[in-house]
Amino acid sequence: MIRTSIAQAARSLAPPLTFFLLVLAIWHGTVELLDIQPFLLPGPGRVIDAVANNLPGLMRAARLTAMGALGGFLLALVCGFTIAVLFSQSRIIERSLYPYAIFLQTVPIVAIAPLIVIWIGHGIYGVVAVSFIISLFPIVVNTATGLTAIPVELLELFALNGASRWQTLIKLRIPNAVPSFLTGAKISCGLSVIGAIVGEFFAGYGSEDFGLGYLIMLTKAQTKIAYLFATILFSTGLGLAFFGAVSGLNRLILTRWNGNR
Amino acid sequence: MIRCQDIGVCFKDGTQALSGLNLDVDEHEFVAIVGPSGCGKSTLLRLVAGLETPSTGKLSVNCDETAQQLPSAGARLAYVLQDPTLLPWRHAEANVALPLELRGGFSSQEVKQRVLDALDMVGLQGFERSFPHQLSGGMRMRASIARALALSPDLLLMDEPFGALDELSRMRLNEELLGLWERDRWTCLFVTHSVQEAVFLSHRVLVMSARPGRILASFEVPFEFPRSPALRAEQRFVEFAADVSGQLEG
Repeated sequence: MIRTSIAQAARSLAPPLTFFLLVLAIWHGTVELLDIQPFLLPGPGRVIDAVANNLPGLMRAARLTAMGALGGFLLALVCGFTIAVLFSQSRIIERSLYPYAIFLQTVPIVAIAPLIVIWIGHGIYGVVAVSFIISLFPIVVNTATGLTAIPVELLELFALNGASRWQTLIKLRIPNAVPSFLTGAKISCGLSVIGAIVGEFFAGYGSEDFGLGYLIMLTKAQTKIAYLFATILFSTGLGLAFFGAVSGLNRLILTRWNGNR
Repeated sequence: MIRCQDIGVCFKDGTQALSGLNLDVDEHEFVAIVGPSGCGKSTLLRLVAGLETPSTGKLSVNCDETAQQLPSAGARLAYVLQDPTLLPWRHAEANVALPLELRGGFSSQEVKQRVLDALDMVGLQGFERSFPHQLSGGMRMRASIARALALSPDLLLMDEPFGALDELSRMRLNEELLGLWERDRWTCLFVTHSVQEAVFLSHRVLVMSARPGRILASFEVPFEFPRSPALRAEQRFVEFAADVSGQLEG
């Protein structure tokens, strides 16, 4: 059992790993052969050095960004769910607000981030606010779909048994919306990290205590390109960690929920 | 128990589903309805359940001694469809408990007892904690029937409940359904495509016309209860079913 699962993991990991090593080799080779200046494109060795030399700072920055993203994401989960429930309970609210929910999804949030910072202020609150706004709509839209797309036979089953509006919401609509709520969460968790980093571009904490977004701006300004690469690497890793955690949770809940996926 | 007088149903899109339909069903009677596809059989059941309202005519359904008009909270009516309509996130026991939960007025102990009894009746003991996706099609149907029976219904409406099952499961479930009926003798309206099934189960087989649906013919089934599976092979059963089929085609 264990041996086969290890073999399976090795089989599925081998191709992407080979490709990764290949890319590293090409990267390294190009930098060396063409003699590219390190302030334009540092080789993989320099990036690894930069990670090693700045590890405590990178970790601290990643922790702070993770907190901002987590704050925005959790807030978006709670508010998004609440808004979707309101939509499902009132045709008038849904009809008048839903088009704007869709419309707001197409507004580049990055463009209004400076405005948010002016209103909310610098520091963690500004970062959380940007992260929150960018991750809100996928949750609203997906959850609203799950709450309203109920098979007619199930609604009739509830009606035949004299179910109240409240019972139908609690025992039918909300459980039915769980898979689509989780889909929304999966989309949003990646966005929340992007939101936190963008938020830090504008609402960074200052030189004392800073996140990855601030570090990106700082290293760019100081043309510490290898350090910038290391920061980008950490940002990507943070996004992946978020996505991995939510996907894992998603799978865990869904297998219990309806046995598929 | 059910009285339909000159019932007509016309949908919003102008389709005349039923017209001039008369029907009386007595208490404890098992009535099967057969007819061509789209003849309004399901509409008739939905009408009795209170999910549709008649455009013309009069309908009355009395579900218990207080003679309540449907749909009302006190009415003990259960509806079984071809699709078992189980909630995928509830295990069998919780699915069967759903109507009792929604209607309220049962103590949690009573709910538990009724649910276990109902699961027992349909042969699902040991599967209380199984989720619908872990059950076979036949078992899901049994769970759906258990959900109806847990209410101790006065009136059971069944709309092609075994239509999606293979022939073997269908025959077994027919026999079990008869056993359950003999135990509790709920009134039953049973819609089916299968004349065999209709004749095997019921006191009376109604043949409906093509749309707009009305009752073309009514056959009193002459076979006494309890009926055994062997009845299906008997000459008189085959001949009687052929008679009904003849009316259906004509």
